[in-house]
Amino acid sequence: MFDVLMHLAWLILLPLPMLGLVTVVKSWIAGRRGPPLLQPFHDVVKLLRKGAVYSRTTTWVFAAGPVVALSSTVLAGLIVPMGSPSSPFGFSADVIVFAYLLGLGRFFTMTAALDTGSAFEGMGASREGAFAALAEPALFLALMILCVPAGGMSFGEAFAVLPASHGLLRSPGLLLAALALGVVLLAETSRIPVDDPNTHLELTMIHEVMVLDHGGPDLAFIQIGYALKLFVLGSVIVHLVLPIPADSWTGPAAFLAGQAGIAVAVGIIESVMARLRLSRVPQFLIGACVVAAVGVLVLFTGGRP
Amino acid sequence: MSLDADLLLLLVIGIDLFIGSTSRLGARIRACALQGLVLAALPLAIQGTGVLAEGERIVHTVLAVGATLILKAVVIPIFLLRAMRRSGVRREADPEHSLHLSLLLCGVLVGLSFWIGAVMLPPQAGSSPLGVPAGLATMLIGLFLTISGRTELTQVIGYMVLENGVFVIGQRLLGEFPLVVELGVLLDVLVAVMLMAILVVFTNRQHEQGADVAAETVGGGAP
Repeated sequence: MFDVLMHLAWLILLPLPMLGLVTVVKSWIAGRRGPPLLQPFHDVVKLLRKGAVYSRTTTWVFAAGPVVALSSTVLAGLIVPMGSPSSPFGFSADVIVFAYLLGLGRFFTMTAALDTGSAFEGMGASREGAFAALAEPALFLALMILCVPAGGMSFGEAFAVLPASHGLLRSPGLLLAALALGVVLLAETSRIPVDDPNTHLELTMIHEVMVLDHGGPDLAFIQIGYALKLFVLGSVIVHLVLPIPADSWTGPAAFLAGQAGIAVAVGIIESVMARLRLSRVPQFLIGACVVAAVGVLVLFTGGRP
Repeated sequence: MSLDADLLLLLVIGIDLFIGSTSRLGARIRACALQGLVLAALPLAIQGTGVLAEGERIVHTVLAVGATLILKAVVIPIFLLRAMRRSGVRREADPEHSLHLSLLLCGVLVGLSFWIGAVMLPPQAGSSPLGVPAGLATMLIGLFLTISGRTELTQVIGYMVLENGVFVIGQRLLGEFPLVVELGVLLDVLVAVMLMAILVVFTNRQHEQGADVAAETVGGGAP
C-alpha cells in the first residue's frame, strides 16, 4: 500500500520539477541563473486557468489528442516500477503494453496535429512519425536485452533479476541497452539533438509544431504528458543502470538520485550539443538501433549477460 | 579481468560503428587513434595463457603496449591528419552510398561476425567471448570502408581499421601475440600508410598541375 501511494505521489509531484531541473542545468552551464525549479509547474497552472480556442476546421479528434496522450503516458507510468521492486499496474508482458501506450499517445498527438489542417502541423506530424518509427526498434531491442535474462516480459521480473547479478559495468549488454534507451528518451521527449524544445522556427520544429494550435488546458495536458514521458522513460533507464535496493528507504533514494542524474545529463547534452540536421536525425536513431542490436548479440553470445 | 576486456572490445565495436557512420575525415582519423589506444590497453586486460615465463611476459606486454600506443594511437593518426591538411582533400568522405546505409551495413557486418564467431570459434574458458566477434567485425568493417572509400585517405583509414581487427583477432587466437609477428604487422601498417599518404599528396599535386577539370570529373562522376 505504501509503495503504491509513494508511486502515485511521485508520478504526480516529480515530472514537472524534473523538467525544471533540466532547464536549470542548462542555465547554469550557460552562466545564467535560470528559472526556479517549479517554473514548469507555474506554467501549467497558468495554462489550466485559461480557456481554450478551437478552430472551426477541427473535430473531436483535436480535443481528444492531448487527453489521450496524457492518460496513456500516465498508464505507462503506472506500469514502470519506480524505486521499488513492483509497480501498481505491473502484470506479465507489461513491457509490450508500455511500448504501445507510448505509441498510442504519439498517434493521437499526430492525429490531432493533422486534424487542424495546417501545413506546418502536418509537416511536424510527418517528422514525428518518421523518427518514432526509427526509434521504436531501438526501444524494443533494448527492452529485449532487459527481459531475456529474466525469462519474463514484465518490468517487475526484469528489474528483480538485475541488481542481484549485475550493475552497469558488470554487463556490456545492459550498458548498450542503457545507451539505446537514452537515445530513445531524447527522441521521444523531443530534446536536443533530435528536436529543440525551445525553437520557434516552424521549419525545424517537430514536437512543438504539432502542438501549436493547442491552447489553455489542452496545452497544459500536453506539457504534463511531456514531462511525464521524460520521467517514465528516465525511470526505466535508472532501474537499468543503478542497482536499486529493494529496501523501502534506500531504494527510493537511489531512484531519486538517478532521476536527478538523468535530468542533469539531458541538460548537459543540450548544452554541449547542437541540434542535428534533420537529414542526420535518422542516422542517429539507426545508430541507436544498431547499438541495441549489438547489445542483443552480446547477450546471446556473452554467456555472461 | 574479463570484465575490462569485454568493455574494451565493446568500445572497439562502437568505434567501428562510429567510423562507419561519420562523414568527417578528421573525426574518422581521431576515432582510429582512439581505437589504437583501446587496442593498446587490450593486452593488459587479456591475461595470456601462454607458455612464457612471468618476467618474459611482462617485458613482452610492455613492448606490445608501447609499440601499439606509439604507432597506432600517435604516429599514424598524426601522419594521416597531416596528409589530410597538406593535400587539401575534401574534409568529408563522400561515399557512393548514403551514410544511413553504411551504418546499417556495419550493423549487419557486426551481426555476421557474431554469428561466425559463435559457429567457428567458440570462446575458450577464461577469454572474453567478445574477442573473435569484435575482431572479425573490425576487420569486415575495415574491409568495407577500404573498398567503399572513394579517396585515398578514406581507403587508408579503412585499411587502418582492418589492421586493428587483425590485431584483436591475433590477441584472441594466440593469447599472446608473438612479438615478431606483431612488430611485423605494425611495420607493415606504417609502411603502407606512409606510401598511401605520399600517394595522396602526390596525386593532389598532379591534379593541381593538370587541371581542376580532372578533379571535377573525378569528384562529380556519381550518377
